[in-house]
Amino acid sequence: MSFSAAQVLLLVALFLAGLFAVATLADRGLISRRISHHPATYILSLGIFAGGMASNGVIELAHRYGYNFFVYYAGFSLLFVFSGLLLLPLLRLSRVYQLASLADLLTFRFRSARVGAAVTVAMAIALMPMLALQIQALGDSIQILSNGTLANGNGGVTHRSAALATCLVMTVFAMLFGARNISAQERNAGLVTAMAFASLVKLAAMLGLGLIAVFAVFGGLPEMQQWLENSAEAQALLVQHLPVENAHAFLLLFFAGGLCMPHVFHMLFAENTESRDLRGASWSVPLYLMLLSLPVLPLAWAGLRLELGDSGRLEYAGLLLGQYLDSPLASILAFLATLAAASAATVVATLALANMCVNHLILPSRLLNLSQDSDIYRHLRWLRRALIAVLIIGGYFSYLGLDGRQNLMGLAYLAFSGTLHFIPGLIATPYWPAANRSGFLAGLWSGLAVWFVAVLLPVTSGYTPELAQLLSAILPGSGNNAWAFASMLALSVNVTVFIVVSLLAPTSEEERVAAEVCSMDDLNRPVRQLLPMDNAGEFVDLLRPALGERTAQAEVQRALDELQFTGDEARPYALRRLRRRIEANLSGLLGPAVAHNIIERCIPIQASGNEDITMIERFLDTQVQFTGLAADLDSLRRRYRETLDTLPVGLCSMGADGEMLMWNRCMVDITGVTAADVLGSRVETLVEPWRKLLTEFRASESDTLLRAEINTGENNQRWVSLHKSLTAEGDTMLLVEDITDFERMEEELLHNERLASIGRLSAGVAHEIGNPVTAIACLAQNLEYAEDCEEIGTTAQDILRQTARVSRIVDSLVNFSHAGSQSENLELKPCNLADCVDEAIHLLSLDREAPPVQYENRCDREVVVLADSQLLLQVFVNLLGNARDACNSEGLVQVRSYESGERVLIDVEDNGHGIPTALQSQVFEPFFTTKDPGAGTGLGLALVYSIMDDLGGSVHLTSPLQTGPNPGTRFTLELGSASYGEVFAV
Amino acid sequence: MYINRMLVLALLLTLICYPVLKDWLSNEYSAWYRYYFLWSCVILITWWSNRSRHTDEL
Repeated sequence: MSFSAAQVLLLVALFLAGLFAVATLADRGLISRRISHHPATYILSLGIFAGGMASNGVIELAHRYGYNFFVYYAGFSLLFVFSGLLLLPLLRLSRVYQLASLADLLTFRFRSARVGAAVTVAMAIALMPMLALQIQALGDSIQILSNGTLANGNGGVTHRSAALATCLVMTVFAMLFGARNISAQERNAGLVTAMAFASLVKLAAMLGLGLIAVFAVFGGLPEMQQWLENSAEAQALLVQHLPVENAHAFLLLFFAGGLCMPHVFHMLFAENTESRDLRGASWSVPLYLMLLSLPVLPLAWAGLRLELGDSGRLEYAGLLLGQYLDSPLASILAFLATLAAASAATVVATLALANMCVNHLILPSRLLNLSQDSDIYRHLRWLRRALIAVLIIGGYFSYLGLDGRQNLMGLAYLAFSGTLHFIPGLIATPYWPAANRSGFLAGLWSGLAVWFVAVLLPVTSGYTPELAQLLSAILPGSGNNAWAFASMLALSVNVTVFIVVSLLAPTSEEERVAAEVCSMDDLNRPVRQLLPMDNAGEFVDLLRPALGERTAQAEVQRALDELQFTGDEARPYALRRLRRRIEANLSGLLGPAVAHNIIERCIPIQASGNEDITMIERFLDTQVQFTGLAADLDSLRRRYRETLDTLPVGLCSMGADGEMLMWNRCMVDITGVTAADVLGSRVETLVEPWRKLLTEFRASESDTLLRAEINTGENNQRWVSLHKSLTAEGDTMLLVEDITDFERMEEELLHNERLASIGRLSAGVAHEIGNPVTAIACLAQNLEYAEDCEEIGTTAQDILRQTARVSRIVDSLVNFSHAGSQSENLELKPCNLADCVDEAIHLLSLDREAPPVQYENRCDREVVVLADSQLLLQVFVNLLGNARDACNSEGLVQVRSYESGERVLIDVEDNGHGIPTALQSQVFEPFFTTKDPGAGTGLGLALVYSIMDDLGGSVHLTSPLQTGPNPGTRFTLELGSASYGEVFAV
Repeated sequence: MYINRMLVLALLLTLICYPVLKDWLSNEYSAWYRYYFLWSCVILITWWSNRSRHTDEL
């Protein structure tokens, strides 16, 4: 059974059209976001690790080393099983600092553009065998599928030109869907979904092939087991021993190679930002690989039983099986598995490598003038597309150059052993802060040099330099075993040089900071840096010379949106965060080296201060888990923090530069300003009156301010006392105590004392005046009736009127003086409030000379208060009388009540002329009146105040109630509520 | 950053036990599916150890 060129190309076209369709539908949202962003999709997309080696090469590995073929899967699976050790820390760095590739990560860690360039060049060299592997798997598969007819140029088409055509379609796919999103921050839904689709196709095809092998070749599982037990050859194949050193080497190769391969790194970190997905991948990727490995042994055994190895290479056992069984289904499944595996790996690998080339070779060499470009994003996109094409064609020429001298396993070994040289730097990133760029570069080039001489050259060109000959004479093993030793030797050289040079060479401060940021035990403590701008809007002006107007605006706005800041943000802390965010975003766009260079050049740090407490606190608060001493210290920190936060006095601290570092809950209560609005801002930007108060007190020489009066709004007067101290670092600690209640209590005590004094005085005066006045009144009365003289009679009547007035005043004084003295003997009883108000209104209505105002009693008829009804009546008569006097002829006096818990509040409100604010503090003072002379004694409100105090209640004044000619006044009485008992309950 | 000590311990145990495990798995009397059995156990343990983790420990 063979396929024609048209049929093969149709198969290729159908599969790649499927990939296009899936990617397009996902990009346009026609595939639900729930699917395209589902963790399972991300996990399946990681199946790109299993390229042509997994679909074909591993069968040869099983045939050659028996059970040892598992090391291929075990290496990559262990990477995920132990994801907490390496993948999660790297994901954290990639996510926070927008690092999309291995070169980005190592450039960020070692703070050197040279590191990025070196990694990119080395990766390009190491990746060529990998690309050649994928294309060779495709080319050979096409050749076998066509039963060799294409190899002879049948119809002008060879398997190589068919492979080239496939490469071109893959190039178009990678250019269209891979380079669509140029920022590392955006997940490329189309690409990820298409890669997940390819992984599913690959798995289904491999499982289908396995079933065909089991049932078509052996007749079922029991039969296969029986054949296995009876076949000495198969038994021997299974237990073929790989020297343990080689097994370790293979394990390390596939473990490290899996992580360092650019396509795997890209899918792991650039297309994923969720640690949740990675946690899911820790068990599901090994599960996927286990399922993928299930058909490997049956296929190898089928090849052994049918002696397929004699007719061709066993790497293509699936295709050979299809030919042997004359089964188009088996052939198509085998080809689809190869096509899906090879195309997915090629597309993502070239895409990732193209990004590395742009960020670490082209942009740092200033081949592209960013500031002059009107649309940087478009230029970068096309640059990446061109590089993708160049790299895929480069892979194709590598395939042509190698000319099939190496099988797939050999090519995989070459590629994996090359990328292995990045693993020392990668492990040092989170685990060895002492590593530096000199050590990394020296180790990388030394290791790669040994690898080039001892592995690459002999394998690819057949030329073995003298040094390699010497090494092969010294090293044990032969063939692949010798490669394993040579690879381990190269890695050993790399690691040794890396360690020695890192320990000997000096490490720059910048590198040290980056090392701490990357470290697992991150000890980096950011400092408060002074930036050359006053608000976020100025970032655009500063970045314009480097990025151009449009890009600068777009990047600043993006960072502002992500941080949820506005353009007028002026807090120094916020500006520092914005600077870091812009650098991280530019890092995802242009690579960390160029981004760092632009930020350092355009937004230089003017000065550095002490530690950035706000940033450190924020970082520590987002940490979920600490262990050991760190956990204890963090617990202690939280406890002290909580103690300071819950202090019953306001506590705020500010740095020497005036930046607010602490603002506890009591400060929030006192000032009404939230900590989020204050922390990280300068004291000068606080709202009044706090800005003036704190600024002046901070600048004053005195450490204590016992009493400061502040007005935080109309009728909102407060008093605070302040204390301060300076820390060794120059920070100012301020204690702010709210003494408003204390001040008011003191004022009330003074008022009560004044009332008591006046009461005592009034009693004495009343007593002394009352008797002579009574005598005068008696004499005047006698005089009136004793004398007939009209003039004397009129004078006597005048005397009587005046003595009557004096008597009223004396009575008032007596009432006032008695008011305070009754409190101890008062027997409070339930009084119906509405009835009491009605009676007061009735009494006032009897006065025909008073202005005609309208009274409205809106008190709830059911409300009962605990009071003395006569005293309460006196209160209402005074208040309603005052209200009436304050109103004109259209006056309205309303009395309302409402309950508040166990208290009853009663409003007596008028629409009269109101009481000026300046006089309000005096209205409860005895003898204070605004009425005309002779119209009032000035004792009414003082009496009300005194009675309410006796009744266990209070009275408050509010005026004005509105603007205009009749602003009105409201007196609010507060009394305890009561009830008549259950007997009267309705 | 949180270092999972159990993982470090498990990695050390894997490295120490690897030769013994390999001999046990690859002796000529062992069933071919022993590898898959062991692999399934590793997957189950990994799933179990990750099931109660906080969703985002970064």
